[in-house]
Amino acid sequence: MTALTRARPVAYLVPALLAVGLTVYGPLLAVAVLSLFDFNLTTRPPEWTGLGNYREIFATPGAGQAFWNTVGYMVAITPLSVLAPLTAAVVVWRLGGRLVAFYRTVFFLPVLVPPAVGAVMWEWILNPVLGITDEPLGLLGIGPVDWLTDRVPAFAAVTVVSGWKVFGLSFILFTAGLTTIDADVMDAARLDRAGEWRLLRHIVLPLLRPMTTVVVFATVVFAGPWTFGVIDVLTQGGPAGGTSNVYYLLYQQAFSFFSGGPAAALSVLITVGFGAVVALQLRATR
Amino acid sequence: MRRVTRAAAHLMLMLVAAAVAFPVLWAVVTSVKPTAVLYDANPFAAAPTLDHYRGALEALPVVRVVLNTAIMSAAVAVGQVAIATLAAYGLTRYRLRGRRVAFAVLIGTALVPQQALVVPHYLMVSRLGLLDSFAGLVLPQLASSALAVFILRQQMAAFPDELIEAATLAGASDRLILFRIVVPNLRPILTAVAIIVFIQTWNEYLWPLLATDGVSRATVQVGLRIFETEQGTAWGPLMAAAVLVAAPLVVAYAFVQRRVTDAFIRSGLG
Repeated sequence: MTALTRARPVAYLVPALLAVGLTVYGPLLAVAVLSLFDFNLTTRPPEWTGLGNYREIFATPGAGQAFWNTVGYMVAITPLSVLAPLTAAVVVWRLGGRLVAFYRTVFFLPVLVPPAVGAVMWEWILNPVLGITDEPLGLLGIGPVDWLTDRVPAFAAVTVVSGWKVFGLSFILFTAGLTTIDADVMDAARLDRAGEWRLLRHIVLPLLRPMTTVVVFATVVFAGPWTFGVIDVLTQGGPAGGTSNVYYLLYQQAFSFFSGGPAAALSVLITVGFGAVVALQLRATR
Repeated sequence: MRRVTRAAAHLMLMLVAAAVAFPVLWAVVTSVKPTAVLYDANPFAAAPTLDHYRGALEALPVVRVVLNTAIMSAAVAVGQVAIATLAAYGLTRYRLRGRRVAFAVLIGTALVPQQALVVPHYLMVSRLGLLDSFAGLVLPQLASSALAVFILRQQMAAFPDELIEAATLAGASDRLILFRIVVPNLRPILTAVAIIVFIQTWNEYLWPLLATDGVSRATVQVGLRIFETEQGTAWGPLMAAAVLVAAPLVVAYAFVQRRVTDAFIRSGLG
């Protein structure tokens, strides 16, 4: 489309700028200012405390753990959010045939089941009284596991349930990426008698690189919100903050303890951290 | 590929599919088990019953919460696509001063996690008296449209000039060109973006949790909390309710499966 130089074009941009101003940049500014005050979200008038809220949030028990858990979730989820869906998408694509639609439907299913609804279904499976995981684990020589109350199993449970959802999204994104690969390129390579592995290594994976970036990006963006719902249903951040992440800590500070100031400070810290991660990622993939 | 390899690959994929579907299938199985055998791992321990569904429908206005979620998701999807379409048109059609900056400002929202803004969003929506209303549910979610702006601007930049030039020569105004030529031609991509935003909003948990009170405007995820009480969890009705609230979107997906998959493919994310 050629660009024009004429009057009144700004009108097209007004709704968008208004929307981001009112719901992103305005609130961001507000929360930055609020982080310097002490307030409780309802009655008490705000009181100036300078950097006191930041000192308080750093001193909060569990803040360090929440930070490391956030990083931990991001890393622990990659087998389910990147490697497994990449493998599944490539295999389904190479197989072709009648079952493709079936696989796509089933793998995408968890994306349509909202996190807290899916987590409730998993909670029933992981429930210690029911114990349907005991026998399969027993076959592997592992005793009964307290999925929701022991720290390591609980962390694993939150990761798996979140990964269960992200898997379907990544699978569809990789599938989308694969459909853009030119059939001629594949045919030409096959004429040269390139084997499946060489095709994969030298053609498919390089061509999928841009999509891999999108998937990693989507994982970071979606994993936070989706993990939140899972944590809230399965563990409420417990045991003793062992499965909490920074978003859950923020939620508790603001809406369970009504510590508005520290919550605002945490919001600022999360935004800076998140922005830095995304920016670094964009840079790394340039 | 050799036949053995193909069979092995299908076997692996089937196992993965079974694992992915299991939690949902198990919820369905549980939802029709009589309470007496609820903790029996054998799915055929007793004749199936619809008691839990009756219990679920008594405890939770299922249709209400599903409708609430659908209305919220549709409003956010339509709103974001409308805003992003206008913005993308403004950005590509005119050589505006500062259009680089405007684009950066719109795309920059991707750097701000919405969840970190719940405190100011809550203060804003409660001051406006919009808690527990659709407006309050929808408004804070309207601006996270970086993806929509990005995709639509890309698509419009690639829009064929001849069509627009012809219309301009015929005396069409810019607005007419947008609504009569650009939008109809971009309908597949607009639908695609709307579907993606709809699914994303359907999955949103934290904001509806904060912005609603009781079930009048609760979304499906918030509504399910009714079954987790101080006395413990009513597993039977909870599984029935979980199945009921998950069903509409899953069934809808079964009918338009191709379109949804295509949405992700067409969005140019590929």
